Amino acid sequence: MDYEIVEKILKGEINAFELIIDKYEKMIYNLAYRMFNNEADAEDITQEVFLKIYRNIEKCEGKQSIKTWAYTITYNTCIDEIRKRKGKTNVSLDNSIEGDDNSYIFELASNEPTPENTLISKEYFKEIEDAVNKLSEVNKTLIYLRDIKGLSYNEISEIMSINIGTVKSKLNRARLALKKMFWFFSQFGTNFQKLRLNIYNIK
Amino acid sequence: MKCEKILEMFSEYLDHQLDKNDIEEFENHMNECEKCQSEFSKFEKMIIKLKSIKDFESPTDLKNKIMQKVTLEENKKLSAKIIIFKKLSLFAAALSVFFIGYNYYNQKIISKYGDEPALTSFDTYQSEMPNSRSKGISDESVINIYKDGIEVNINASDIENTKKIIESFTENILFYEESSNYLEMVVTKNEFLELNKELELNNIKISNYDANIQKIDEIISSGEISESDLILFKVSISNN
Repeated sequence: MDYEIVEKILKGEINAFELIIDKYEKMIYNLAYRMFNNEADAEDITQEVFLKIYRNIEKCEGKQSIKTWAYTITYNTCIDEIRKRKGKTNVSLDNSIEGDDNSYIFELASNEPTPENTLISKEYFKEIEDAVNKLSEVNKTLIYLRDIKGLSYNEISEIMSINIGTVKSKLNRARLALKKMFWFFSQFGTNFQKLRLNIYNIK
Repeated sequence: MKCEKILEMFSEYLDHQLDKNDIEEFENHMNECEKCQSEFSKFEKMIIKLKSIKDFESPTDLKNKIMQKVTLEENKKLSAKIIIFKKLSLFAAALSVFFIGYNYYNQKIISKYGDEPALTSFDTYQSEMPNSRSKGISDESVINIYKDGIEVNINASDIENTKKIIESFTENILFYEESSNYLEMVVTKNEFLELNKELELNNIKISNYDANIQKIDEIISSGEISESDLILFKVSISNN
């Protein structure tokens, strides 16, 4: 149980913190990896998150598990960093903006027209994982936590600080968007910086 | 029902979040609409595919890097503490010189050992510290010392031994005089609890211990100082 480890750390046994790292390192690293799509950032974020956990460890006193709390810190740390890089504090990271005809505008991640990107042709694009990486940060987190990690709606609501109703609607849109994007990329490749797709169009 | 409405229900249907009426509505539509059936089947397959995505392994040396940072952080805290205490000890040394001098001219106070010398030294100490409760002692860190301090009476049959225990327990003694049964020290609440344990092991009793802890908790919960701040303890040791 986490509270037993936390108790030890609070008593000054720093080494007990290794047990917390063993338990949550992969989990934190992977959410950060999904958000940034690269190892270096995922590693930096993981280190930062563990320092935050250590500094605030007394907040976990008596908790059976710090899983949700650790995810929350990771999510917030990623979002703060992304906002910092984008240069604004109020920038929307939920980039599926509703158009007037139920269409969503996708600003795609990794949109640099590098030779590697041009290689991602429609033949190459077959992995659902690559489509996930193209989603907005918010949509990506929803899909990752629910469909890849199997977390409950309640846990996601806590981690992302949004109410259950919003989790339900946003998750459904994220999934529909993913489905649409996956289909689109497999047909036309991925060399697009901005897309306008109607996720409700099933004709 | 429109297909768009059904699309909005896909996730909730799949994750068993719909109520009975909505399930019925959803299934009725599905039985009639081939397009939605086919869409839902693709949707479901995609979710199953997602479940097969594996996590990445984290770098092998990441744990060491994290522990290094944590240890560094802990050492920084410790050295900040030492700097504070060094500065405090210097200040305390200056204070005791002043106090000895002061007593030299105040024979009555010295002979009447008890509360008064304590208050004298404490008042001086406070007057040296502007803003009384909180003062940046060094640039590295700021500590808060509870303004009025906590008065502690220790009942012990062996006064010398008791002083030794306290001395060995904490370096953070602000005022201490060999010949006196009175001392002042600054420790955190937790350190105070530990000191009590240590004294108890030696059958030495802090006479108003529970009331003191209650008082400390009240001060902490009022937000005046935090759990990690230092509290000034004015300790007098007496024979029981």
